[in-house]
Amino acid sequence: MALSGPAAFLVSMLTLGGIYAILAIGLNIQWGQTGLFNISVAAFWGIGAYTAALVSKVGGETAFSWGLPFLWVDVVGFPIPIPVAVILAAIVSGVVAVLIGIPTLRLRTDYLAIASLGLAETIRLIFLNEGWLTGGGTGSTVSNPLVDLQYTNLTLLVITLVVLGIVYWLAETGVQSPWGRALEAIRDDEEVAQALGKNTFSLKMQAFVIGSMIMGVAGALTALRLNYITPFEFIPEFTFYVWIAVIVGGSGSNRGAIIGAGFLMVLLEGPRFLSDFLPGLSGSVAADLRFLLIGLVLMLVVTYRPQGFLGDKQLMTEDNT
Amino acid sequence: MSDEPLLAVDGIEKHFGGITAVDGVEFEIEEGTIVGLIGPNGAGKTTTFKMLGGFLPPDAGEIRYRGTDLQDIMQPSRAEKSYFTGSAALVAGLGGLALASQSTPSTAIQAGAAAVGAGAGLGAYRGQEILKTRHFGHKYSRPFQVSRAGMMRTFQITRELEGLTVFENLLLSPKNQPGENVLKTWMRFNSVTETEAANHERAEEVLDLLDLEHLRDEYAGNLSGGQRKLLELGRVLMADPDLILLDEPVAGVNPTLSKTLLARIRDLRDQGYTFCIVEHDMDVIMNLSERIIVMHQGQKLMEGTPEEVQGNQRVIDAYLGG
Repeated sequence: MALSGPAAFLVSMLTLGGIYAILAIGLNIQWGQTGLFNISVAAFWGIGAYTAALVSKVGGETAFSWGLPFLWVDVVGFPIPIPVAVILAAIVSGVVAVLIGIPTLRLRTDYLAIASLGLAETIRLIFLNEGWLTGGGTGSTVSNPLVDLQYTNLTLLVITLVVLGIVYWLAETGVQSPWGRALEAIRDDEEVAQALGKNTFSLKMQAFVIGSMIMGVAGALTALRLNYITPFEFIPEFTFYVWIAVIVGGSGSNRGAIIGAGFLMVLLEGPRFLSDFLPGLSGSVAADLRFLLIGLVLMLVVTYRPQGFLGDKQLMTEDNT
Repeated sequence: MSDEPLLAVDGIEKHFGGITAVDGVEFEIEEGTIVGLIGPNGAGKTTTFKMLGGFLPPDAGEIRYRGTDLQDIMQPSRAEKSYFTGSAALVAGLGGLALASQSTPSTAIQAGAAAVGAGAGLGAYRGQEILKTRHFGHKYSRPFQVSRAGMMRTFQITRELEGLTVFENLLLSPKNQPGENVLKTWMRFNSVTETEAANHERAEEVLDLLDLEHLRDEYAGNLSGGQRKLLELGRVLMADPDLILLDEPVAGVNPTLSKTLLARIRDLRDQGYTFCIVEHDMDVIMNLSERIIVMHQGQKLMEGTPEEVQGNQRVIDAYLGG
C-alpha cells in the first residue's frame, strides 16, 4: 500500500520469483533428484492455492472483529494463523499426490509424463466445474489478512522468502542425505536400486509427495498474492515455465532451481521495459517478446550448456566422451 | 527346519508367450558353498537368476530361502496394505461427497454419502485383492524384499549407478539406513550421522579391499568394464548378504584382476558367504565351484562336482551343439 512505482514493482517481481523458485525446488526433487517426469506442477500449485482460498473463505462473521493480531486467516468465521493455512495447502497437495502417485508412479518415465499431463488437466477441469467447492470459472476470493497491513506486498515478500528458505533447507538436507542418495539411485537405474534392497515405489512416492507438497505451499503463497484465484491461473503453460526454470538452472541442483526461477522472472517481465528504451516498439509487442526470448534462451541453453547453469554435466548428458 | 538348505529351488517354470525359458528346474544351495550355474546361451540361466532374485515371479514351482517361500518374503507389509486400502477408501469417499454435494446442501447427507463411498471403496479394494491372490494366482515381484532378506544379485551387463560416485555407490547399499527416512534426516536423529559414519568406514575398507581407492570420487559411469565388476561386487559386500548371486563376475575383466576377484570370492566363501555364480569361462567355474548345475534348453541337464560335469557326455554334447 505504501510502496509505489519501481519499488512496488520490484517487490512484486521478487515475490513472484520466490514463488517460482519454490515450485522449481519442488520439481527438482521430483525430476532432478528422482527422475520423475512430472508435468502436473500447475495442478498441485492450484490445489495449494485453492486449499488456502477454501480455508480462508469469508464466512458470515469475520474473525477479525475479534481483535486478533494480523496474520490470521478466516475459516468460515474461525480464525487460523497463516502458517497453518500454508501447511494445510501442503497437506492437501500431499494427499492428492499420494492418490495420483499410486497408479502413475509404476509407469516408466515417459508414460508418467503423459499420465501426469492428463491428470493436471483433469484437476484444472475440477477447479472449473465443481462450482460448489471452487467457485467455478468466476473464481474464488481469498480472505487475505495481509491486505489490511500497511506494507502488504513487502510482508508477503518476507513471508515468501522465509518459506523459500525453509523449503531450500529441507530440500538440500534431504538430497544430501542417504535418502537423497537412494533417490539418485532410482533416477539412474531403478532395477539396481531394487536389487540393493531399496523400496523404490515407496521412495518415488516420497519424492513425488514431498515435491508436490512444496508446490502446494507455493500455491498458498500465490493465493495470498493474488487475493482472487481462478482456474486460469493454473493452466498447463505455467508447468512449463517451472520446467524451464529447472532446466535453465540445472536439473539436480536446488540452488540452480532458484537461479533458474530468477532468470525466468527476468525473461518474463524484462521485455515489457524494452519499449522504454527502443522507440517504435509498442508495449504489447515488447511484452510478447518474452515468448520469443524464452524459446531462444531455452534453445541456447540446451545446445551449449545442456546441464544448465549449475547442473552436473555428467548427469544430464548421455554421452560424455 | 535345520535340514532346510539356504536356498531350495523346486520345479520352477517360466514361459514367455510360446517360449518356455525355464522348464521345471530344481536344485539346492547349501550354506557356505560356491555353486556354479552353466549352460549354453539360451539355457535359461539368466531367467533362473531373475526368479531367484525376485525380479520375475515363476509361473510354477517354488523358491524357498531359508525355508520360506520367496512369495511370502515378497508379501507387502501390513502398513503397505493398509495404505493402499486407505487410499481406495479415501478416493471413493471423496467421490461420494462430490456426488452428494451436487444434489443436496445437507451436511448430514453429504457426510453419509462420503462414509458410504469410503466403505464401498474399502470393500472393493479388499475384494479385488482377495480375488487377485486367491483366484487368479497373483504373484508378487518385489525384489527389494528378497535383497533385504539376504539374497543379493549382480547383473550380467554391469549396471552401475553412473550419476553416483564410486564411493556413493558403495554407501548406497547397506541395509537399514536410518538416513533413508527423510523425516529422521530433517529432525537430525543421531542414528543418521552415526550409521553414516560407520558406513563411510566400511566403504573405505571395501575400496581398499578391491583396490579402487584412487577412483573413490570418480563417477561410476567413467569406470572401465573390469572396474565396474569390482564395484558391483563391492556394492554387494557393503550390504552384507548371506547368498550372493553373481552373473558373469569376470566377463571383461583382465586376467590379473580376475584372479584377485576370484581369490576374494574364495576368501568370502571361507568366511561363510554363499555364492551362486553364472559364468561362461569354464576354467573359472571349474576352479571355483564345489558343485555345478548344468542347464540346457530350460531344463537341468545334470548336477555334480566339476570333475563329474567335465566328464559327462551330455554336457559336452550340449555345449558342442549335439
